[in-house]
Amino acid sequence: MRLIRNRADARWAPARFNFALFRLPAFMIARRVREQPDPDVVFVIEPNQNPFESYALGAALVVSAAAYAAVLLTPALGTIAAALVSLPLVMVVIQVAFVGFGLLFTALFRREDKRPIMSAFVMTLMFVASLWALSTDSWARYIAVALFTGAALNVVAAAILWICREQVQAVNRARGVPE
Amino acid sequence: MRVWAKRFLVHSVFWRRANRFAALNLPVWMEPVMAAFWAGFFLLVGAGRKGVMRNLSAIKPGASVLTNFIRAYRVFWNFAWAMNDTVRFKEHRTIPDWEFGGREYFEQLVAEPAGAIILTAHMGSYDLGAQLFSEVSGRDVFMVRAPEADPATQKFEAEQTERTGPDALKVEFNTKASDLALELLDAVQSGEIIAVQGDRVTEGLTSVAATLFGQRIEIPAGPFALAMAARVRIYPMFIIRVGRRRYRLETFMPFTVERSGRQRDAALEVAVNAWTTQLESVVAKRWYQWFTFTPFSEDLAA
Repeated sequence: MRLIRNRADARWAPARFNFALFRLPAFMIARRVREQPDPDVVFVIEPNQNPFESYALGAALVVSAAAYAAVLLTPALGTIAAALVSLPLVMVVIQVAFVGFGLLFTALFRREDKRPIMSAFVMTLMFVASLWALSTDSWARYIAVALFTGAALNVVAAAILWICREQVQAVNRARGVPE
Repeated sequence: MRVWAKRFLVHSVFWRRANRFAALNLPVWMEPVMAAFWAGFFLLVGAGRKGVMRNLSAIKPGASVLTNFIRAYRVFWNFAWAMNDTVRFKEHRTIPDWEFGGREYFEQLVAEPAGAIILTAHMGSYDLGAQLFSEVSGRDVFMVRAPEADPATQKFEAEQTERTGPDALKVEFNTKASDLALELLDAVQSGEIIAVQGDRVTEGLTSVAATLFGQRIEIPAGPFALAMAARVRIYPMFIIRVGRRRYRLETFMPFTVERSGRQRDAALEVAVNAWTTQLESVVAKRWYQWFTFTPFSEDLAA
């Protein structure tokens, strides 16, 4: 377990971010912040520590799925009812799908930690659903466009981070991340 | 309640297994979606809602039912995250970020040569708190707690602890007043730090009467008697979840239970009052972190 003690600026260490879209801004902020000694903090060096990243991705999943569900349900329920029903419906469907696919992956794969498989699978499903939304002339296609734009920006950010990988490592070290 | 329905009670082994399943399968970025859903589920269908709302009516007198209903959601939201963080720690050794409150008392505790008692409450996650304590101080914590209400849950937890290896936290389950007493006295006198949850008493344990938010409550007498017998300090300490994967370890000024002559009960009363005053001030501020799903006072249950 890698811990950084007594340094408030460690919160911006790029190593604490997972997706390039979030790691790149962290890298840019971490380059500018000064060392901030603070005896009352302990930071963990572990990707996925940033709450904004996690909430943003979780919200993107729910909002896009609910939008697509609303479009699908509109012919049967009408616009308002479909909009009202879609969010709780999607929340339930996500739970059921998660358990179902989790059990399936448990049967198919030996590795105990199946989070990377599930993550890739859910993202693939999101992109397939977004491709469908793009092919419609509904309002949900704008959400699909936003999702694809985010994915494209993530690829660009990953490329920038790769080019600047030595500076990223230096910034991590400067923020207290051990080698 | 029907037998099949009991399998889905909040303390049943079903939810522990489900939580472990989620820790092994759920991508980190999907955690907020799950926490939001299950907090809502337990708010709507769980028996715990009534207990939480009754407790809130004492903590926040004068608040409307709707306000406390929304507050109850916040309690379940935090509970879902705390459970999730604990299981993630056990399965993946992922610990959260920490901040300290009352650092000077924490350092005093760490430096205690003669052992000490940490008095804590059902807040945050003691597994995570103990791990941090161990990382920072190099000392382990000996936790005494009530056993799980469901024997199947108790068995499951014991199996998980055995499987995931030794933690910085050694847990002993206290079932009777006489159990563990000598063992704990010996441990604390030989320099161990013992943590006890002092906000709830289980059947069979010796309790003392106290007042919390103007309500009569019973709290465990054990930690106070132990501190008196071993002549060690009691440190009130609370583990508070302040955000996603971010916790606060709040340590308060220690107190002693000093017996003068035959005034044992008077010494106990002073110490119990010191504890309940501290507990009340923390719960009043951090009510959304107090994971007490039954009314804390019989007066509230009535």
